[in-house]
Amino acid sequence: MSVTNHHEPLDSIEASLTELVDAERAGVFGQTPLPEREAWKDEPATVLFPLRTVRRLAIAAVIALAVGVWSLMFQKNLSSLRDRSRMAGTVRVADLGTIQASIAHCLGGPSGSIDPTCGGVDFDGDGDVDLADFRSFQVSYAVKR
Amino acid sequence: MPKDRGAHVRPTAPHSVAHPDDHSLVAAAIHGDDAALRTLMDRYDRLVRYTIFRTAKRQCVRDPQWLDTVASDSWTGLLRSLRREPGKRPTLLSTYLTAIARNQTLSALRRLRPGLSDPPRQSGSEHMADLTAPHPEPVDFLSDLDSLALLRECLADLPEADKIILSQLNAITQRRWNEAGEALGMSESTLRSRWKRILDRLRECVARKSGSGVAPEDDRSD
Repeated sequence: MSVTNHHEPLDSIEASLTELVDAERAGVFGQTPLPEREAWKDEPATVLFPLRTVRRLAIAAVIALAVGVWSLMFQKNLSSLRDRSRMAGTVRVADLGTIQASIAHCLGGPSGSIDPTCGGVDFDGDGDVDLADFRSFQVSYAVKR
Repeated sequence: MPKDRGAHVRPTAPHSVAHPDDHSLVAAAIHGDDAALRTLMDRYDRLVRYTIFRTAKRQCVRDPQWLDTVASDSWTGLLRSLRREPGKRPTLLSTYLTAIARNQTLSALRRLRPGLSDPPRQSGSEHMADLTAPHPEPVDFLSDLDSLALLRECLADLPEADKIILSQLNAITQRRWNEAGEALGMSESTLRSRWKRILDRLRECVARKSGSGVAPEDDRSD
């Protein structure tokens, strides 16, 4: 606590006196009131799920929901395509891209197992998605004007 | 200044009902025992306030209300932290509180001046001086605080005539003897000799109260 000025340095008592005056002015020797209980009791005593975990769970739930909705819509779309092509023997140009992508996604070969969402492109109904299905698709493909 | 004392704010060790230890008080306080919290604050509030003062001296002098707010935030921070992790207890509450008070002070300073955490560009910035000041250990704070408390007691014991001279402390410590002498209605030489006597009296009083035989300043080699 040594403070000096240009000419005569302050001795330790003078430096302490200066510090004491500042401390008194700032209210160091005052008393802090008891903190409001609401200010520190608003949080639970123990945190069962840290915020990070809750955030991750929420993200996982949103992703799972999105996948579920997409899966349902995809299956419904393929079913309607198959029904339409079987009934009319034609496929519209607008459906072409979707069907090609679906066959590419679902193609498992003659003895491959079929994904539950791929029933829409099992055109010959033999329980798999193979080149025979692709051929059926080609046969039924036509441009609807 | 003696560095080996801390009786005013240092906790008492014995485990008894009359002097419960810090851990018992903390446990009771976080379960809503206001009396336990008050006892803790009696022990450590001055340390908290002094830590804030030492960390941001100029801001505290400028705005004493600010110190109150930061002190209150420090206690709230302590209770929140202890409540959040009930299994963990600080080994030394004084060290823990000093760290919390310092962090709360720095956060409050940054709220006042958002760019405060940047490196200082010039040495004249008072807030920067506060932030870049060396960070003393709690034991140093306690020792300095005790010394100030002793000096405060000694000042109260001074005769009224000496207290009047102390009203010119600012001018005297800036060595504006002539100006201080005029304000007090005495010559510069009289003021100088009386000031020396006051300092000796205070030095002797502090040494007596602290129990250490501190030699008069003039007898020291420095």
